[in-house]
Amino acid sequence: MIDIVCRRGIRSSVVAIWFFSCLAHPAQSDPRLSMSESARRGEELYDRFGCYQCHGHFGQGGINGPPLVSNVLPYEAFRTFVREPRRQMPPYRDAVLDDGQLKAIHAYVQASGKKPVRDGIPLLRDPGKTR
Amino acid sequence: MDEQKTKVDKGRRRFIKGTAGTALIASAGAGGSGADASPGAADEKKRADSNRAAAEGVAELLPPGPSSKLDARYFGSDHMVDVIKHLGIEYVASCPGDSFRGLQESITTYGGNIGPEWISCTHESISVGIAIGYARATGTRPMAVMMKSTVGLQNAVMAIYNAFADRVPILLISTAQHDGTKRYYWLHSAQDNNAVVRDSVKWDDTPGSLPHAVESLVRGYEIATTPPMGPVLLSVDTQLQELPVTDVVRPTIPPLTSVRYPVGDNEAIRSLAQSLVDAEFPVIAADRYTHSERAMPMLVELAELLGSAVIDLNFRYNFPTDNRLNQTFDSFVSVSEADVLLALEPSDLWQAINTWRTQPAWSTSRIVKRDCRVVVLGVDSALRSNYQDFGRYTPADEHIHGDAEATMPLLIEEVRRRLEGRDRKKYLARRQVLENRYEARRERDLKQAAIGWDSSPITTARLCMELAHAIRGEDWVLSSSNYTVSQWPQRLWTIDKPYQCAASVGASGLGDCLARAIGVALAHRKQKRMVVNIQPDGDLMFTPGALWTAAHHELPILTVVHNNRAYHQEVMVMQNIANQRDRGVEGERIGCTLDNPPIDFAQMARSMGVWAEGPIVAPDDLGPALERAVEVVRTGKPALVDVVSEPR
Repeated sequence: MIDIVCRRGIRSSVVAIWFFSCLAHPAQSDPRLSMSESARRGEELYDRFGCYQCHGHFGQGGINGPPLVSNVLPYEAFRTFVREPRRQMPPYRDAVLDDGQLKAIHAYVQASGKKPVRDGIPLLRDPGKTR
Repeated sequence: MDEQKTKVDKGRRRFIKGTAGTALIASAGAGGSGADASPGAADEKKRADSNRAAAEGVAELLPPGPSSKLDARYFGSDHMVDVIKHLGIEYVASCPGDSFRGLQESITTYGGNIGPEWISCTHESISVGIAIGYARATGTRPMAVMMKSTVGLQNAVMAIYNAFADRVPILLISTAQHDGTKRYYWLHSAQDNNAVVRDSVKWDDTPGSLPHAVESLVRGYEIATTPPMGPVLLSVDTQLQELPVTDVVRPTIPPLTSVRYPVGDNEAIRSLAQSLVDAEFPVIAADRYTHSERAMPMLVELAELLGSAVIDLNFRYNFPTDNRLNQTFDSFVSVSEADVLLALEPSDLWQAINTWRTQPAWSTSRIVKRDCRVVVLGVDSALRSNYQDFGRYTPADEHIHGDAEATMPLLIEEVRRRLEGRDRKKYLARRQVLENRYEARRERDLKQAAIGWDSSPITTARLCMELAHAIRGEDWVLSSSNYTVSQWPQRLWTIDKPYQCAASVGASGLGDCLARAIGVALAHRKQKRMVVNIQPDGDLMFTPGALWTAAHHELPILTVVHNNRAYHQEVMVMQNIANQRDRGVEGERIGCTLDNPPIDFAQMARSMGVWAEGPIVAPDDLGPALERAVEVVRTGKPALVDVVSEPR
């Protein structure tokens, strides 16, 4: 019980800090906040909220979650899925992850999706040759 | 020499008798100083007799030494070793144990430590894991495992369940001490030693005599190797092992009965063949189908004849990964299109034709069409009622009871006969669809594999493809499940030789990955094949002692530690439950991670005599490290590379 209260306390503090920082730098609407800053913050949140656990640190996907960066959903669709997922993904509701944080994560995923994927990797050119 | 040993032994026993007697006298004297102040001569004699009797009792409690068997040159355990040799068992994996000292001495001395050879282990679950790997690699041949009564067997319980869930044959030998007056360690005795694993062995026995033990060893071997296969357990009385045997009473060793695997009913197979030939979209889902190296080519032949999709389920690698009919990674699409679905030895038919989701609420749905004809060909069904390894019940349209591999020649013949003279257009068109899907899926996989290629933590795709590159040109066998590395080997490697993948999941009990690799290496020892073990870090922490066994027996195993510094499956599970409760993410890593302090697996391996490198953090360092490791393994020794990598 104490543990839960403590965790809620920590969460409230995190949310409060984030809220005041948003007043100073309102996300998305403030052109001063470049996408890369938002994406950088999103990267930290992507890790903290455990998105990497199933989708990988670079959004590459794996056996437990599809790749996120190869076909990035528009924010509204992304938000809808994260809030009310289908199949095995756990829901991230507002009580855990607020919209501002979600936008930052989306910005990170979007930025990762724009990163050029290395082309012509020799080991992927003819992967069948394992003998 | 014998005479000298006997003298020493007699002397030792005399010494202990004397010490015990003296101790008893001293003890009686101290305790009775007030109550028995003036003992008479009669009392003195009585006390001396009593002390002598007590001392004899102490001596009786000692392990009987060879002095009591001066005339014998052949013992019960020697005879048991002769039976084990007769059964063709190559190896016995075991920790040492005093309750089977007779058998251990017979194996290493009387039997010359060859056929069976003693494989030294540091934990009983490693011994059983080795036997699982050996049985998976040989398909039908068991090795023996010895475990001390109670504590040894208790250590092996989880691994025995893994073997049971994998349906692999193992001859498990534990011990019993029937006669309580001959026990010197009651803590390691049980009234029914086998009870602790009875739900996860196919058969067990506690023989009451040497002839009974002989018959049960042969019977157990037959039961273990008859499909559905499984481990069997014999608890052999310690006294029975040490019993002197004369030629007159030496029990006869019965010949092994030749077991023919059950073949599916002719009429049912003809009907199945007709359905497959007439089908618009037949799908073959293969699970515990493969026993031998004949299985894979036969399945290829059937699929090629029909132009049908083939899906590999969890327990065996039945179909070449580079065959375009392999639709394992598009199974949902194939199963949903099927109008005939043939399931070969399915471990869980429900999972093969249904799906489930947890969000937004727990629900299940059938993938396969309502009018799809679902046929099961296999001998397996619920073997035991306690462990629920058989999955949820779902009816099939027909269950043909017969071993799928043994039935395959008949099925191929019936299909071939029905295809003669038929227009092949339908089959070729279907094949083209499947080939296109295969190519498209492979293209997607290659693109996905490139994401994060140069990043750290090293992606599992890069780990697997660097490994594939390092072992090119080698004759290798993959011993480990590739689930935790997102199945990249199954997706992008060419695994096309019937022996090339000995992996399976068992009951997903942790701690058997490296042990399995050792068993696989033993099975391929004569062919000098390199065994490749993609080793989850958490699994290795359960049984690190397996590293020592690999080094001690000089086995060519390349272990690549997929080091995500966590029991990552549980990290995801914890995240899932916390999210469903809206409790955030702060607690999900507690108890699930292995990162504070991080484990130095290379140092751990080196401490047990295994060549090792790591932790490898930079992606570009991985390839050269693997090349160096392969060089070591080529010399017939194990090597380990610890790779700090993505969770999945």
